[in-house]
Amino acid sequence: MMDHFNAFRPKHDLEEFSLSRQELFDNPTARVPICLVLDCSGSMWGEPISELNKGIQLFMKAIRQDDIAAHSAEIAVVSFGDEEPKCELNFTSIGNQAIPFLTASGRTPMGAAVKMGLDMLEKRKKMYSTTGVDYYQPWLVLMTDGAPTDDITLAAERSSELANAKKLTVFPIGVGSAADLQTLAKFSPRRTPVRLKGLNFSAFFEWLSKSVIAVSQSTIGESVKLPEAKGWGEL
Amino acid sequence: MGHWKIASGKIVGRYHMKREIPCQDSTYCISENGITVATLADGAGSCARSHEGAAIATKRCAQVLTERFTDFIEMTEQEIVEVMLDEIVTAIRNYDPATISLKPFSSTLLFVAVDGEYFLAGHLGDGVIGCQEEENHRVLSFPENGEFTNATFFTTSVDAHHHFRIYREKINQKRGFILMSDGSAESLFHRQEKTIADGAKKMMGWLAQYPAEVVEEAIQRNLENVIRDRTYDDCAIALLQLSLEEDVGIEGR
Repeated sequence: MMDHFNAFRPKHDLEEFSLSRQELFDNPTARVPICLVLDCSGSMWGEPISELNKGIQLFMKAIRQDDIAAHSAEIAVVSFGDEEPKCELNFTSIGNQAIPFLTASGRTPMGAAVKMGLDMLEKRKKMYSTTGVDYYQPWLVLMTDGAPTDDITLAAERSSELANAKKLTVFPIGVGSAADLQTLAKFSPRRTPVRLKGLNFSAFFEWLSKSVIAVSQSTIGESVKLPEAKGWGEL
Repeated sequence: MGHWKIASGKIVGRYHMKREIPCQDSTYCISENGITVATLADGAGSCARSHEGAAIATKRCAQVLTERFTDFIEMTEQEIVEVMLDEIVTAIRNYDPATISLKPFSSTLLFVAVDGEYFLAGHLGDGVIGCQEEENHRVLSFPENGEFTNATFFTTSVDAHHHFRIYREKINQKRGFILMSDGSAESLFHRQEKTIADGAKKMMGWLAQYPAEVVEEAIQRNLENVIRDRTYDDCAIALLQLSLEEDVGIEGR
């Protein structure tokens, strides 16, 4: 292979046949938008909210430490406690995000929280489309230790429609024995709700970060196998 | 009037290097029967034999174009698509008669063929086909993905017929074409502005001016040294360019 090139070199040196960075485009990395919709109602007070905060910290640190996922994953956090859901963290580059510190109090407005999460995902997808950013199927992680105190009908229908159309992956997670898995299932027709083993939030978020990394590394036509959910869940 | 020249290159991407997976991009260039052809295919990521599928698709597509170019100029676009997909499926079955499912051989497909008067291009899936008209460069065919980045259309997709785009015109002022896989397109195609990078125009210019062997080596060097670092995916490029030199016959590789 070298012969042709070297034979030509007296007249045409390597520089003439080199591309510079200025002659190439920098397209943005394809994004994986993930919205965590987390129960922060009064029943999460104490050790549960403390372990949840540790889990979120671990999750964001793990994503930041992976070269590809750090540029791909975009994370938002919606908490639901008190009377209304709250956007704790909006989508942006993970390097620019402060890790939220969640506190527990109040009721469980799960329907409104899922609606807020879905709205945020929709808005983010629109932003990707208008700015020429490719993206993977969005994820919504829904965690609760109880049952909703508001009407979930519309939010559950919307979430289910998206999941059935393969436009959204929903991860429904119950925390503790009081978590209403039947209600969680209404948001997720394709993935059965899983009950967290004890308060093993860290193991769950470790698994979630590995899953995000696997997706962010996937190429065209590749169906991504998520890592086995060992150590954190029970059906 | 000059003559049409062809050159191509491909490299395994960083992600596949890490996982010791072969390059799933393939190119094939040929000049026969007065027809000059460049083809490119990108094997589906999770299909175990998609690198073989991409190689089969590019080779058979190029052969069919040199054999039936004149027919294709007369046929409807739908007929061209049917012939091309049937030929590729038959080639896969001939390659591995024991295979039951075609899915492991899934790939995208891009091609451009020219005779002295017409060009015929086809595109299924992602990747980009660009062209040069006089001194202007533009995208001839855009990538077609689903909504999400890791989804596209393949030779084995049930709806491949509906997504296989055909372009057929008189050559007129067209002087060159570039085919790129999605890995190369990361550097050579601006997704938001939908334009071709100066680097792509430069490579096309090389082929207009210099021997195909020299340009192939230059493409390979730039894929390895510059373009691979800017994506995790496999990268392939195929060029088909009208020479600025005197007409000394078809030069092909």
